[in-house]
Amino acid sequence: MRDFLRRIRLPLAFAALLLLTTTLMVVDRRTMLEGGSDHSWFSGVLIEIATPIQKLIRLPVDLLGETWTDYIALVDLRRDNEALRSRVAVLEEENLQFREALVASGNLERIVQMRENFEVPLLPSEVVGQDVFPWFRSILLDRGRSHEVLSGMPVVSNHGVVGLVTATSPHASRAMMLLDRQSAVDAIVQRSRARGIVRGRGTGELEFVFMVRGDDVQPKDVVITSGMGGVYPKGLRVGTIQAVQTDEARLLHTGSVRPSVDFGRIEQVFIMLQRGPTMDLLYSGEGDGIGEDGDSGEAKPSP
Amino acid sequence: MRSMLALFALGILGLIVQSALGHLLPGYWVPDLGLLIPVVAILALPPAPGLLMAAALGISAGMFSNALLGQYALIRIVEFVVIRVLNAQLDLKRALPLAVFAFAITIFDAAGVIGITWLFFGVSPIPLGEVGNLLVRAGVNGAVAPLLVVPLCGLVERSAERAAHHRRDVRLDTKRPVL
Repeated sequence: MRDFLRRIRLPLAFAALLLLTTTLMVVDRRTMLEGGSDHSWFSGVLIEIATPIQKLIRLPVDLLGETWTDYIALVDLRRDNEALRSRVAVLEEENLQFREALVASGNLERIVQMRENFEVPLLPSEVVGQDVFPWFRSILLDRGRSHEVLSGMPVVSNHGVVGLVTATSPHASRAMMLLDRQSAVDAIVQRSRARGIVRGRGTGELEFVFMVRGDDVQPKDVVITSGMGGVYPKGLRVGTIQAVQTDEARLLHTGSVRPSVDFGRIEQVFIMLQRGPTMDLLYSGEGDGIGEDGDSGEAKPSP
Repeated sequence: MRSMLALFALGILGLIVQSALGHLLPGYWVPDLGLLIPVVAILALPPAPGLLMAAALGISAGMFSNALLGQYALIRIVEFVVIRVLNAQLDLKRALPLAVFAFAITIFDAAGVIGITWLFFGVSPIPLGEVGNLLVRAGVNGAVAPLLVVPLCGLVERSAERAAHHRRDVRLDTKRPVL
C-alpha cells in the first residue's frame, strides 16, 4: 500500500495542484466581481517584505539620478527659471481671466463643485516596483492601510490620472494603471464636451471609445475625467487625442490618446484619500487588505 | 529541505528584484526571474518537490502582479510537465539547448497568460502590436538562462548531494553487534 502511494504521489500532487490553482483563480475572479476581499495574509507579508528591498534596489539609481538632476543638469537652470517665471505670469493672468469668466457667467455652483472635487487630501507616495508581467500594468506603492489608503482610491500625479488602488497591505499598496487592458475611465473631451470611455490598450497608448458619431473630436484635444463613473473626480487630465479613426459604417468612433502621465518614468504619485461613490459602494462593508480580507474590485473589473 | 527553502527564498527575492528592475527598465528588457527560478527548481529538484516548488513560486508571482491569483501557478504546473519531458530528450543543463528552451518557454508562458486571462476576462493582456516586445523578452530570457539556471542547478544539486552524503554518514548500522 505504501509503495502504491509512493508511486502515485506525483500524479496525486499534480492533480491536487491543478485543482487548487483552478479553484484559486475562480475564487479570485468571483471576489473581483463582488468587489470584496481577495488575497491571503501571505500576500500581505510578501509585499511588506518586498517594498523596503525594492527601495534599496532603487537607491543607487536614484542617487545617481539625483546627482545628475541636482548638480550636473543645473547648467540651464537660470534660463529655465526665467522662462518658467514668464510662463507662470501668463498662466496666472489666464487663470484670473477664467475665474472672472466663470463668476461673470453666474456659474458659481460649478466653482463650488470644482472646489469639492479637488479638495481631497492627497497622500504622496513613491513607486517602488512594477508588475512582474510587463503587460499587466500595475505598480507597487510604498503607502498602505496604515496611511489610510484603501482599495478603490484614485492615484494621480501632477500630470494627471495614474490609476486606481487595487490592493493594500499595512505599508504598501498596488495600483492598476490606466494603461492596463482592464482599465476603463469615463471621460470627456475638454473642448467639445464629447463623452466617451478611455481604455487601456496594454501598450503605452490609451483608446477613447464609445464616441457618438458627430461629436467634435480633433487631434490635440485634451481628454479629462468626466466624474460620471463614480471612480475619479471630474476634471482630472487623462491625455491628449493623437488621432481619430473614423469609420462611416460604424456608429461609434475611436481615438488614440497619448496619456498625460509618462508611465515609463513615473516615480512619485499622489493617492486621493477619498473614494468615489461607485468605489465606496463596491467596497463598503468589506475588508480591504491584501493581508486580511482583501480588496481588488475595480482593480480587475470585468471588461 | 534546506536547499528547497533556499531556492524558495531565492525565488521570492528574484520576484522582488524583477519588480524593482521593471521600474528602472522597460518591462520586457528585464529577465523573467519569476519564470527562470521555477525552471531551476524543476530541473534540479526531484519531481515531487520540484512540482511543489514551481507551484509555490507561481502563486508568489501572482502576488506581484495584477493577474489572477493561481494563474502563474497553473502555468508553472503545465510547464513542469513540458520541462520534464524535454529534459528527458535534451540535456537542458547545457547552455545552447537551455537558451533555446528559455526563449520558447517565455512564449509558451505568455501564451498561457493570454489564454487564461482571455478565458476569465474575455480580453488578452498582450495586444497584437506587442508581439515584438514579447520576442525581445524571450530573447533576454534566452540570453540570461544559461548564466542563471546552469550555476543555480549545480548549486542545488551539490547541496542535495552533500545533504544525502551527510545522512549516509550518521546512519546507524543496527545489524552490527554492539559488543
